[in-house]
Amino acid sequence: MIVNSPDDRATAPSDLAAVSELFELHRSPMARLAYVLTRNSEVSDEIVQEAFLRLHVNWERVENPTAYLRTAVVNACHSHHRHLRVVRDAPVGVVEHSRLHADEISDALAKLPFPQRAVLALRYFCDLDDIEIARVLGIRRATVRTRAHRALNQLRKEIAP
Amino acid sequence: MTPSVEDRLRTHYARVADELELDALTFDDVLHRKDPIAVAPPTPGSRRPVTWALAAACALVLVAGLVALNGRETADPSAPATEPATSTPQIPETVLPATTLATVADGVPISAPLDASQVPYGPLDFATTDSALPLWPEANSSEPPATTTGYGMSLCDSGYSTRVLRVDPAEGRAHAYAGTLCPFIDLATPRADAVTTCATTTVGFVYARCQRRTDLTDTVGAGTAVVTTADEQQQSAMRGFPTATRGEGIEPFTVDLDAVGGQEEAADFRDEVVAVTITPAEVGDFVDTPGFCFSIALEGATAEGCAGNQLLATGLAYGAFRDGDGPIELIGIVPDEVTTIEVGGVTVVPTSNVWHHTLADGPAPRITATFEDGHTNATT
Repeated sequence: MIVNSPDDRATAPSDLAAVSELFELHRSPMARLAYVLTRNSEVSDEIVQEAFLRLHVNWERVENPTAYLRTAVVNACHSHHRHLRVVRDAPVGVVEHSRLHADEISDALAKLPFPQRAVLALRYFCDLDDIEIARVLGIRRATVRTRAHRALNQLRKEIAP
Repeated sequence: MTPSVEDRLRTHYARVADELELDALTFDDVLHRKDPIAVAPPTPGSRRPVTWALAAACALVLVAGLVALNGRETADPSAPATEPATSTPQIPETVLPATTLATVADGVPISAPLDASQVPYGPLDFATTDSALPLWPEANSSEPPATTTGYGMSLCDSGYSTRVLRVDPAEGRAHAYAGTLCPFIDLATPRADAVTTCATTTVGFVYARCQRRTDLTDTVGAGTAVVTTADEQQQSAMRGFPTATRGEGIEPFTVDLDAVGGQEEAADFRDEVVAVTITPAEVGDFVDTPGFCFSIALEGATAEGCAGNQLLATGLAYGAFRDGDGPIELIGIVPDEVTTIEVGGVTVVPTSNVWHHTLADGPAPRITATFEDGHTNATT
């Protein structure tokens, strides 16, 4: 579970050591968030490493490193997802399925558009509230609610007995 | 007792996350990697990295205008919601086009030219009406100034190059706006949060932000505006895009949408290229007037937003999408009355209030919506 650390920025010196410290602290939870969204362990780890590199480059201007990382990870996952989507070969919205977790809910999640999956992951994996999710995704709180509503409805349909 | 979907999700996520094993690694190792990290390598067989140009959409803009400009420059990808901008994360990946200029309220460039170490906060700007521009002066920051009426706009969340590709000024040649227009605001009854969501300006993670206006005078001050004037190449690339639906245009159709049916359930349109979902708009939440919300998903891009019934009643609510130099995908949403859409001489029959047509390169087509009794409405 990823927990906000609002004091990260205030307590850490703006240098490599600070980023290194954050790396130790957040690499694993960020990677798990990425893995939940991409279902690819290699890509997940690389996404997280890239996010930390970006954080390092932008350290002086980043106000909330944890939030920055989370957003960077979600966006990178979104980018990865886009590259995997080949609509002309598969129906829109159908994404790669996990071989490891080919269960009912996994299959149902895989059919959701990425923006909806991201909302669900941030809400039910990261335990963020809608305001925080809106900040991470750069969308309105109402949009978060709408996406979550649609996604949950779709899941209920998919996994209905 | 059957667990709820929410509980099943939590269990599922926990299990998935637990199975991830990470190699021992320090940040120093990451810094000194010999091989560059490629976060999102293209999948073999997929099309090249997309530069979806989300052009016009829901050509609306009625009296409206909107938009955006951005607030302060910051690398924090999660600006507080209390700020005037509903920001979108910034993860610089490339520099913006050379024609891009970022300015702050006093007009002083803050990042021209931008380099890779800067966060190229994006545009926004929008096509609006002459009457609306005085109310949103900083939005009229394009060169040449936007004097056109309604070239649509659209929403965001595409994550890809979202750009209004063509604006037809009263005089002079058409020009382009970099950025995304965010719908849908009626300046007669401005809402503080009417300008929403995000925009992207370049391939990758370079996002723009749309500014939320708190009042007509915008005491917060103009944010960062990025405007790109179309060069010859862009002019050529734009010529295939249809003209905008004029906001002041007639509204010959009803606003009934069977596909929505007043229910919460989404109505889907899906073909091999695009999937569209329409839902009722919640007045006061998404739009200022009754209308509809839509979600459009194509390869490499999605667009979400809402439009008012004024646009719907024209029969000419559509968005145009383009992936690089690929074909232009036109997706429109029409009321029940509209039985056919003619695009450049080709007749398209809407399904579930949605139509989709793929345009090859060529001159901009005329789009005509027709009701069974013969009355029509068409783009100029």
